[in-house]
Amino acid sequence: MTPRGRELRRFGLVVALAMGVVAFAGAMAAPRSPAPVPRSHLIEIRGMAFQPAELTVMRGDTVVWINRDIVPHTATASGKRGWDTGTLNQAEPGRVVLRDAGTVHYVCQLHPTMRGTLIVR
Amino acid sequence: MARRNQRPQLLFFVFLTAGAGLSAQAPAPDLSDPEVAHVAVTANTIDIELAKYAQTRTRNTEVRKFAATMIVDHGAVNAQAAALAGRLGVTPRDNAVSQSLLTGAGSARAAIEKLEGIAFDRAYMDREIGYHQAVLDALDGLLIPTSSNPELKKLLVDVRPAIAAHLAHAKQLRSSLGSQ
Repeated sequence: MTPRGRELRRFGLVVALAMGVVAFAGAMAAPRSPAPVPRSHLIEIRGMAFQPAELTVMRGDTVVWINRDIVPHTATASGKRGWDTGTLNQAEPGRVVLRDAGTVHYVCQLHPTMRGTLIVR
Repeated sequence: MARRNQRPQLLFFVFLTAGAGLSAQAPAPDLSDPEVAHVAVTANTIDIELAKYAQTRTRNTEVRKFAATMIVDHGAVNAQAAALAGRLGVTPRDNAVSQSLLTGAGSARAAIEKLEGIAFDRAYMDREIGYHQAVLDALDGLLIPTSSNPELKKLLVDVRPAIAAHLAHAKQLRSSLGSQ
């Protein structure tokens, strides 16, 4: 190998090493997408309505309903995987953990004109 | 509770007598605060008692559930009214308007007692529609705009959506029972 060839080879090794170091540093420094942290969402039952009436949440999130009305209410989803907060008296909260993706319609069993929707992503 | 607030409340109960099948044209007597409180409790109790009776007569699951809701909800409103009366230092006292309401309720019940099956369900739901519409009209047109006691106004405002929901529920259910 000529001196010129040796110089080029050395240069190539240096470049390769530098690229490796940069790639490693980049990999170490790159922000990792954090595991989703379950959140809690509040739905107020006020004036014979779920507020908000429609809410988008992530799987694993918890939804808490709190009854601000004088009369008791429920939040009850129908279907095979239906859930029910049970009767919530005035100022009483009820919570449900949403484990499955999909759109869930729910009602107050005591007042069927009250309707709400949860979109679980 | 200020004396000047008594008249709107009294008119509210005159509306209630219309809902119960009595005349809304009768002149309103002058009631004391304890008497007004008694009338309030009486009005709620009348709907609770009719609902209890309906539960023993209907064979319709939805009508039975509606009646159960009336018992629970009007019971909760009664509890709030009693608590307000307690805070204001008012002890309910029996009076002519309460007695008139009870008489009207007795007549309404006598009319539906004769009925059976779906005819009973229809008559009960018709009565509930009339009752809740009368209460709602009184709240919107008279009670909420004219009441000045803040606690009383708040109670009326808080109760209004429940009355509207009861009315909507009653209409929906009555519609499902067909005509006649």
